[in-house]
Amino acid sequence: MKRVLAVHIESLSIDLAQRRRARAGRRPGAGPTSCVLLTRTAAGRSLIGARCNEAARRGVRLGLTLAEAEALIDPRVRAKSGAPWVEEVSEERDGRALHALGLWCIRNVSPIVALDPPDGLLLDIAGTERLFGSEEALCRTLLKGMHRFGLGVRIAVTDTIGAACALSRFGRTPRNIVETGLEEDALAPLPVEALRLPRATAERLAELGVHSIHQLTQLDRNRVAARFGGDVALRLDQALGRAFEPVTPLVYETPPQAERSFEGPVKSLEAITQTAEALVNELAAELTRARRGLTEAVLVIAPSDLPPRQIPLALARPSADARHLWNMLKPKIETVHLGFGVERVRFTAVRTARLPTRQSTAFGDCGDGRDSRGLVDEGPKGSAKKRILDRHLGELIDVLSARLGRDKIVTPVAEATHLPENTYTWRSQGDPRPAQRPANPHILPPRPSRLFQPPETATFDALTPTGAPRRVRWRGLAYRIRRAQGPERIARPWWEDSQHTVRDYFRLETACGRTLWTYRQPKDGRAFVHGEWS
Amino acid sequence: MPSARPAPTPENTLQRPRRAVSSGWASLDQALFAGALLPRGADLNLPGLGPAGPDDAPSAGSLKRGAPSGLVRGGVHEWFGTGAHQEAHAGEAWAPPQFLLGHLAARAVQEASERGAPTHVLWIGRSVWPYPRTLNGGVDLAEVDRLPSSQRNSLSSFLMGFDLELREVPERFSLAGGALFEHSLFVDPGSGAAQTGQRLWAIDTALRCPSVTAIVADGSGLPMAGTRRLQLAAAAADALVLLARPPAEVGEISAATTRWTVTRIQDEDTGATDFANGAEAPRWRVELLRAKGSQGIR
Repeated sequence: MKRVLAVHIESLSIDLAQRRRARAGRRPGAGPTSCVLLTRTAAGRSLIGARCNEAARRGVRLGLTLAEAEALIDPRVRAKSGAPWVEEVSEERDGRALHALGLWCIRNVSPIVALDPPDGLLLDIAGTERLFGSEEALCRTLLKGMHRFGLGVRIAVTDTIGAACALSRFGRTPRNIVETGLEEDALAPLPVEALRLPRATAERLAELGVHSIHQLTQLDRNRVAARFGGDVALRLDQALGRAFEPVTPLVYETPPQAERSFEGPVKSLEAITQTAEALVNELAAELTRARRGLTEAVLVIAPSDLPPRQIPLALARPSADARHLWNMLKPKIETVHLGFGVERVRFTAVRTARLPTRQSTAFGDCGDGRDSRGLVDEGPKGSAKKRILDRHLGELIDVLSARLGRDKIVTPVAEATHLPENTYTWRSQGDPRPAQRPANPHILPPRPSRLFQPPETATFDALTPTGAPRRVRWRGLAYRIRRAQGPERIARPWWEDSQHTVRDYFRLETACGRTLWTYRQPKDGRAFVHGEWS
Repeated sequence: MPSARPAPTPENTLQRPRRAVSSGWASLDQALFAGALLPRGADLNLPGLGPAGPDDAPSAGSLKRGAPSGLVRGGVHEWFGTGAHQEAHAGEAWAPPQFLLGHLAARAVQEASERGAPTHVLWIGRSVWPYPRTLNGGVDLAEVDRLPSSQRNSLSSFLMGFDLELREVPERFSLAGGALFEHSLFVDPGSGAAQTGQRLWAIDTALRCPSVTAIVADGSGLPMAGTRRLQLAAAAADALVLLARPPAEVGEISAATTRWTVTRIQDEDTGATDFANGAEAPRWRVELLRAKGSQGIR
C-alpha cells in the first residue's frame, strides 16, 4: 500500500532568486530592487527566461530581451524602489536547491523522497501521517515549511505517482488529498497534459477534441494505443494505479558519528572529557578504516537544562588522527558551560574527505624509517619527505588556528596594484588561492619594512621646492630632516577613486637616524607617515 | 666564504669612513654565523673563545675570532631595537629591526635548504610582521664597519659590534632569491600584555613542529621563565628563534643564547647637518651584548 505526496513548486527559480535578492538586500549598503528578472542567453542576446509577478504585472513577457523588459519598468518605480534584480537562469543551481529541499523533506516529513526535476518532489508518506496525526496535518507541516523557505508550492496526496503529479500541477486547490480508490474521479476533469504526455501527443489529442482525462478514458484503449503510441495508455495506467512506476529515492547519508548518553546528568568535567576523548578515538578509528579524514566536525555536549552546546572543529587538511583532533578539541571543552550536568555527548564528522596518505600521530614518528623531524634518512624520496613536512605544517596550522582562530594564521598574496597598502593581501589557511610571488612585472622602487595601516597623520614644515619637508611633526615629536628623496607619485586608478587622490611619496631621513616613508596629498596638503625602514 | 677584508686600524675605525666591504652579505654572515649557521653546541668549544684576554678592549682581530659565538641553531636570540640609542625620543614606539630579522630568516632558509632540512619560517606577533615586500628580496644588508669595543654607546659594554647598511640589489641577486616569501607563515596571537601567554604558547607550539626552521617572534614582555622554556624548546628542536624586544627591556634578565641591540646611527655619529636631496642607505649599529658560553668583556 502506497501513499504518494507530490510537491510542485510553481516557480522554483523565481522563488530562489527572490531569496537571494532578499539576502543581498539585508547586506549593509545594498539598495532596493524593484522586481526579479531571470535571463537566458540565446544567440548572444539576453532574453527573459522567468520573471516575478510584479514584473509580469508591468507587462514583462517571456522571450523579451532584457533591454525591452527594463524599458517596461516605469522610471518613477525605478527611482523609488530601485533597478530590477537580474540574474542568469541556472538549472544547475536550481537542481542543487531541489536536492537540498529533498534532504529537508527526509529529515522533516518522510524517509522516502525522490526528486522530480525540474520543480517537483515525490514523497512516499505511507505510515508517516500517523506521526503528524493525519494526512491533513502532515500537509500543513510541509506547506508551512515550504512557505518559510519562501516557496509557493501545490501538493497532492494520492495512491499513485501519476495522479499525484497531475493533481499537484493541475488541481484546483493548492492542497489536494484524494482518498484511496477515488483517483479516477479526481483526475476526470483535468486536461490531458496532466498525464505528463509529450507536447505533440497532447496537441494531437486536442485536435481530435480530446481535452480532458475523462474523455480519454471513454475511448477504446487499444485504438488509443494504436493511434497515439503506447505512451498515452501507459501514463493513464500509471495514474490510475494499473501500471507500476519505479522511482529512485534520494539517499540520505548520515554523517559518521559517535555518541554516548549518561545514565543521569554528569557534572564532572573529567568524566565528560574522558567520554569525549573516547568518542574522538572511536570516530577516528572508524574513519581510518574507511580511509577517510575529517575536515569539519562538531562535538555536541547536551546539558540537561540548557540547549546543546556545539564545539565546531575545522581542519586545513583532512585528518583521522585521534591525537591531533583531541589536541584541538580539548582546550575548547574546558570552556563549555555544563549547567546542572551533561546527559549526552556526540561527536559528528560533518564533512570528510579521502585521506591522501597514511596518517600517524601529530609531529610524532612516521613509523617507516623516518625520524621525528619527518626526514627520510637516505634515498631520493624527495616528494614523500615534502609530503610529510607539509602534513606537519598542516597540523601546526590546525593547532594554532584551533586556539587563535582561522584568520590569525595567514600568508601574503601579491596583487597587481601600485597602491602600497593593497600590494599584498593576507590569505588565511584553507583559502584555495595558492601563495605566489608578485605577478607585477615592474621592479618596484625601494619600499619600507613596516607599513602603518592606516597611514598616520603628520605635519610637514618648511617645504622645499620639490615638496619635501625640512621638518616633520609626527606622533607628537618633531623631526629634523637631513635627506629627502622624492616625490614618487602614486595615484589610485581613476575608475576606483572619484576623489582623484594623488599621493606624493617622500623618503625622509631624520637627524636621529630614522628613515620614514611619508606622503603628501597635493590636493588638500595633508601629510601622512606611511612606513618606516627599520 | 670568508672574505679578505683589511683589518681595521685604530685610525680608520675612529674616523669611520663609509667603506663598503667587497662581498656584501657574506661578510655580515661571517660575523654572524661564521659562514654557516652553527649546529648546537658548537659555540661552546670554538677556538678563540676562551676567557677574555688581559686587554679590556680587545683588538678587532680577537673580536673576529670571537664571532662564531654568534647565531647558533637551537638557540634563542634576542634583538633589542630599533630605538635611538640616546634617550632623545623616550616616548617613541619601538620598531623591530625587520630588515635584519628578515635577512637572518632568509639566511636560515637558505642554510636549511642546503642542508636538506625543512624551510618554513613563522612570524609570530603582528609587530614583527614585515611589509611582505621585505621578504621578496631586492634588498641586502652589508657590514660597513666593525666597531672596536672601546667605541661605546649608552650601553656599557658589548662583545662585538658593527654597522650595517641596507643596499638595494636586483631581486634575482638577493639572498635566497626571495624564497622567504614562499616559506613564511604569519601568526597573530593577539597583541597586548594579556596575550603574552598566548604568544609564548604559539612560539612553543611552533617549535614542536618539525617543519619549522626559524621563528621570528615578538618577544616583548616575556618573563625569564618564558625565555628559558623557549631556549629549551629551541635546543630540542634545533630551530633558530629570533625574538624582537623593545629597547626598554634590555635590563630584563633572560635565558637567551645571545642578546643584541640594534640602534640607529644619528647625526652626531655621522656629522652631517644640512638638508640635502637624495637618499642614503639606512644604517644601523648592531652590538652583541651577551653570548652564552663566552665571557662578557667588561
